[in-house]
Amino acid sequence: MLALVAAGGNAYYLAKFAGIFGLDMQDIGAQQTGMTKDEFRAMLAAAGR
Amino acid sequence: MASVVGCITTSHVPAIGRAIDRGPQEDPYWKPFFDGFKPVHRWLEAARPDVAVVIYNDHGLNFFLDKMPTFAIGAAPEYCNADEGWGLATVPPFPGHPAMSWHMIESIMGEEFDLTTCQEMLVDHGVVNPMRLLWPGTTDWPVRIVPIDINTVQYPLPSARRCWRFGEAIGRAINSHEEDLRVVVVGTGGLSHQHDGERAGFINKEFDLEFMDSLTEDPVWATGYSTQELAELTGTRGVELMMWLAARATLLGDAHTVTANYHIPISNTASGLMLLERAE
Repeated sequence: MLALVAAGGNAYYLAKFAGIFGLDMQDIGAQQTGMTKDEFRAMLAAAGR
Repeated sequence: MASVVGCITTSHVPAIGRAIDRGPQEDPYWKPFFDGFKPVHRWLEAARPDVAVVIYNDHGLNFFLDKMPTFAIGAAPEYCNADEGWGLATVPPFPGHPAMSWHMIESIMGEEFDLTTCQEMLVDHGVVNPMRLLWPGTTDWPVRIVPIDINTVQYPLPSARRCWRFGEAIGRAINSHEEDLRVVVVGTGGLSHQHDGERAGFINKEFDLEFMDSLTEDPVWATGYSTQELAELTGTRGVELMMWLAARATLLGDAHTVTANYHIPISNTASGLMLLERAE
């Protein structure tokens, strides 16, 4: 994902692309930030506190 | 004459559509989000709008990156949805109001906003999810729609100040339409979120809450920021707050909050909801 962004990929189209592989927004968020999916979800939930 | 009876601003992320289809609205994850719409449903029952002007951003269903208008407006007798991926179910067409669209186009162009006019226009989750949230359980839509697209997909984007002025022009266009119609303006997108890069998952609760307060206290507050500053403050996709600004501007004066809700997270997004009326 980071390489695709660096190559000029647009977030909305990369999200559609990831969807083809059954990946959701938390999957690609986790992948880009070097977290597990659970860690990424926990970070999102923590932003609400 | 037509008149704006209120303005509703809401998040529109695709996950909302899947949640509506699969029915986990009572789950702890979704309940705080869906519960926020109950006062809006009561207000809509009383307000009985005839038309919804829906200000949103397309995400590649109608406009691909090869041709990207800054401001586009529908002038079609109906607006179809289509498969946009992610397993989202498509919904039946939304009825349009071409006569009102063309009046609005004349009026808005008269204020020197050079619109892309769309006599055919596919509408994606930016329209579909808010419509399903506002009128749940039906696809026999009780309103006709006029969709208005603001580019927040491919840079350069219009400035927040430009979107505010665009919203004012939309408000004047609605209020000068000769048919007696009750019009609700819906602004969809936001609030803070980012999907791309090392900062994916970025959310800024403090800014979002200040922004929501500003829509009644000092509605042009966010127009003091550049697009790049807004991307920094709200995430690369948080710039969708442009649609909130444009929708708020259609009230053309002071406003008060009827109901508001803010919840983190829905998907990777801080979800926001506001219902505003013109202050008497």
